[in-house]
Amino acid sequence: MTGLAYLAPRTVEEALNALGTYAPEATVLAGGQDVVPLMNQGRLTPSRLIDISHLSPLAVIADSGVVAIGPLVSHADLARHPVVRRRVPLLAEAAAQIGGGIQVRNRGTLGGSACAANPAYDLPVGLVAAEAVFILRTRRETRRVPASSFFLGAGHTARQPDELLVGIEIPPPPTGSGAGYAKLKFTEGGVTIAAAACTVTLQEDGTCATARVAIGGVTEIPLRLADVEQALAGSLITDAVLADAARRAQAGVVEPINDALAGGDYRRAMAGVMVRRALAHAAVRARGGDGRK
Amino acid sequence: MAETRPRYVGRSIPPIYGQQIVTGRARFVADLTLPGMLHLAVVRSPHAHARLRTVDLSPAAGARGVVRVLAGDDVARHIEQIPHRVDPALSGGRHADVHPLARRKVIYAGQPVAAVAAESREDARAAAALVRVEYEPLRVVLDGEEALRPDAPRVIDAWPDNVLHRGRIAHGDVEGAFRAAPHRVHATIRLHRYSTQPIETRAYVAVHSTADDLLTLYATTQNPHQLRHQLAGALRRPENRIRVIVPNLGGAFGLKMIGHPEESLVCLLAILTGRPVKWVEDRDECLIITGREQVHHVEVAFSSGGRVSAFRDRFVANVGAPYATPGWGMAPLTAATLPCGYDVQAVEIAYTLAVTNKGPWTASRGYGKEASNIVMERVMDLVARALGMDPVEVRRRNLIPAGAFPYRTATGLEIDSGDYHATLSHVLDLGGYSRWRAEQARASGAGRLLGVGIACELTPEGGSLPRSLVAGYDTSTVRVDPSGEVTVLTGVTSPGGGSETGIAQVVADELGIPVERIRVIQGDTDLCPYGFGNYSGRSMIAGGGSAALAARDVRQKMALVAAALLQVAADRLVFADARISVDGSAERSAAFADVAYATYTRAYELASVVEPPLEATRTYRPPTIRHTPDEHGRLNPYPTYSNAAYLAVVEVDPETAVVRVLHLAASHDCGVAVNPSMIEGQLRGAAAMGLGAALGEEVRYAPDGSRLTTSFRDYVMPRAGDLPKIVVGHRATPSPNTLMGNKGGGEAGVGGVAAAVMNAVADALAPLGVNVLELPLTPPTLWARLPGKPP
Repeated sequence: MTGLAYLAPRTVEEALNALGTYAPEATVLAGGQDVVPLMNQGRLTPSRLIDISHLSPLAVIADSGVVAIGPLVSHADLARHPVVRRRVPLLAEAAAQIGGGIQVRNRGTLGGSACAANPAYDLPVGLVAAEAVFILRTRRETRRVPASSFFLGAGHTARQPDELLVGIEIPPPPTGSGAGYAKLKFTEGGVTIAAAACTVTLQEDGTCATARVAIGGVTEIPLRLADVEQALAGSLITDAVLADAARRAQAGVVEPINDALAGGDYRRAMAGVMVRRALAHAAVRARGGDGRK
Repeated sequence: MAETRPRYVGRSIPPIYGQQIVTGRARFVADLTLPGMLHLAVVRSPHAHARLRTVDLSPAAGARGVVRVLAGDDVARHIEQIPHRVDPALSGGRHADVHPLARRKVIYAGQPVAAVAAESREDARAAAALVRVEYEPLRVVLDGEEALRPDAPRVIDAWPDNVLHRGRIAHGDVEGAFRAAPHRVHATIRLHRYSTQPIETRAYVAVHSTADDLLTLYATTQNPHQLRHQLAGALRRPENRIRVIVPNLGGAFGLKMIGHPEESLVCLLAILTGRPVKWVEDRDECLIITGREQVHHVEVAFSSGGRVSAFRDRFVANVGAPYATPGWGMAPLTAATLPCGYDVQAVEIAYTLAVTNKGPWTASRGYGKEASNIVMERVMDLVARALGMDPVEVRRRNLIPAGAFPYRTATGLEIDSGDYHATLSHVLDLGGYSRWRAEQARASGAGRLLGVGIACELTPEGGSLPRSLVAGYDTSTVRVDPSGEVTVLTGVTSPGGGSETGIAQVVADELGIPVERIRVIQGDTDLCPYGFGNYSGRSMIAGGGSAALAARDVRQKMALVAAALLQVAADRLVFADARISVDGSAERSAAFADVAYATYTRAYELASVVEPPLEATRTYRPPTIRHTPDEHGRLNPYPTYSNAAYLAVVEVDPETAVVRVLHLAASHDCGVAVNPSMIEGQLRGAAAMGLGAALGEEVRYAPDGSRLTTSFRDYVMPRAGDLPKIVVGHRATPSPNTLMGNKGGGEAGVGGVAAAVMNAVADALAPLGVNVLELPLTPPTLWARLPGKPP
């Protein structure tokens, strides 16, 4: 920790100026659940920390047709906020399943989780399935990046070093939708081995109008599964259709993560299992049930 | 003689120092900060096997805050080698030189290569990263059986092979029994490499005082006196110029036995720099040192009724790189403990301890005995399956009968007492065995994979190894001061398990005083009598026993003084409620404190009948340890034997292969329990450890020998929420061989629970035709064996 400078800008503009001046050596600190452990392990050695954790404008949740969530909203707030629970329940459910204890959920933030882009994190896959849009600002300009092109690799996103993630917008699914988030971990506090996030919208007759499906934990970045989505559209959600979706999900996995915890074959197979489980939950909810057995 | 009324022994009083712990006021070695203190960082080899070409310390030497840097050759000028805690050569094995820092070559990934002492931990670590080491990688050997092939790379250059130790125990007509038996099964059972991982990792702070040439080491260690002896040997200085102090420990489980290189490194650096030196292990480092990994080729002969007539086991233990802690000693005790609590007298066991380029073994809770139980319990289930019998029934046909104690096992153990049949029946009732079998049948109809597993467990405790400083006896001093307060100094230590509380309970009862008036001091070689610390469930056997004897001696003195004071015969005096009374009558009594004061102040008249001060030091040496071989060449290294039985119910997810433990029950018999709730706490912790060992905890290596398991992310321990409700029941068959009838309660549960869970998973998967002979049962490994996977 030699020569580490700590900056605590008072406004978003000050933060943007600081980033503009000190990028790329500066690291943004929000809830500290990713940055601080990495620094402790010596895997991240920034020369400057720009602490944005007290910038309250970035911690707001608003609903004006599109749900806008500030990057500093904590996992705990995501899980319990009435707007998130009602309008984008997928994100609430993914946040509620974040492991490591209530301390982590109280400190960890939506924006921090997204920008860390750790393959084992729960929120990136939820954001991809929810078709979130990331609003990135520099001191000069603002741009909007869809989730499908935000995640570029493990720990690597479209955010430039001088950009600050200032908001995340999520289009709520229409009525008749249900969300499902299924994840596999080996212990209560264990890391995600495979996860699936989905929203299913059903028509009056029970057929699937649209489905958005993504998997996480299996590959370096969250994968949107267009093949699964297309196969579901127009179908009744039957066991056979779910089994087919699981097969397609597995087929969609290229270069799965292979580490000390689980090999690639296992992760690929589990992607299928999680997709089937998440879809089954989502379909029950779309029909008005709570999706739990 | 005077009598006392027991008030504490057998009661679950809270730990006497518990409040300090739960309020965060207790201090541990890592909390210690001394003026001018330096911090040690250790440079470790990334290679599992490599020649050391050069170690260039110069970039680190000039880095910020660095005071001293050392490589292997620098250390060798001061420390020739680390003496072994128990040298394998003493029992026919090989001696390996173990150096604090590697010289010439490294033999495991993580082996210390250089040491950097600096003003702060950050400076030390930053400088350590600058040390330039040139390695010439060599071919590695990682598998125990492969290490025994003639063409395997040699871990120790000077050895003709990779064998550290081997042994054979044979008793009875094994050949004849196999010939005569109508049935036999054989299996290869593989137990994996794991670790113990206490919350508190290892830490040491060394201070050298030049004024009196005293070296003081604050250490997370289980054996302060033996560490002092070992440091004297390593540093070639007088043993009486070394003081080892052990503050509170946050768990030990064998990891904190002695012989680790960092112990002598901090001492040497403190001497060389004249400043205190501190080292705190991080979690990655804590995963370098491991325990267990053995392959058992077993064979049993049995009748159509399930009676086992002979047992054969040939096993290879992969002990990793040679190391000075006593880890290797676990494997011979695995052999000695077989065939556990079963009445099988025809037994043949051959074992080989192979050295490899994996991390060294250190002692790990269970100390090899857990492996015996896992192997034997799996074998019993294989017999049951071969005959289509209930596994409970097979055990009943083979367990040592209750009337057969003392029972000498085929390997020479002298089992003192127990009722194994009753323990088994007890756990079946506690755990609802028949109810779960019915539930299993229902679940099976619904396509669910439910399994019920049973395991019995034998836990030899209080052990002593011949010709070593691993003793079965221990010593305590009981001191009553003039105001009647009591101090107990004892040679046993507590890793957090609470022996201080048990000892206080014993002494409180002997003296008839409230436990609050007793202070127990452990873990200081300048204060406490020479003792052996904690291992092998011994603290209450030897520590409690010696404290009771010392308290009785003090009581005898006080009774004589009280007799003079009250003008009555000493044998009519009763010690209770902090008073000494005639036949328990309050009218004719004196306060305990007043008698203590009189003993000190009236030494020339009333109290002249006794020798002051009110202090006694006594040793308790359990009598039945046998270090002289019997007619078959067998020893009995343990005074007493606990037993237990377990029932586990699991459900295996047929898609993910995740094992959920639905239910766990234990019946535990460790004789007289001084503090039942603390015994139960030990058992619950051990059960969690056994469950973790069965399902996830594993230290894994890449094919090049580098370690893949570096944090709790990869070392999959169960969290509180992963544990089922554990139903624990106690039985108490007193030991005739210990002073208080206790048997040791620190190790039971690791092997028994691992075995019960393993058997339960095997039971769940049996309908799919999957046999289970390997641990751990992680989801990916189980999943790979499930039939009917889509291609």
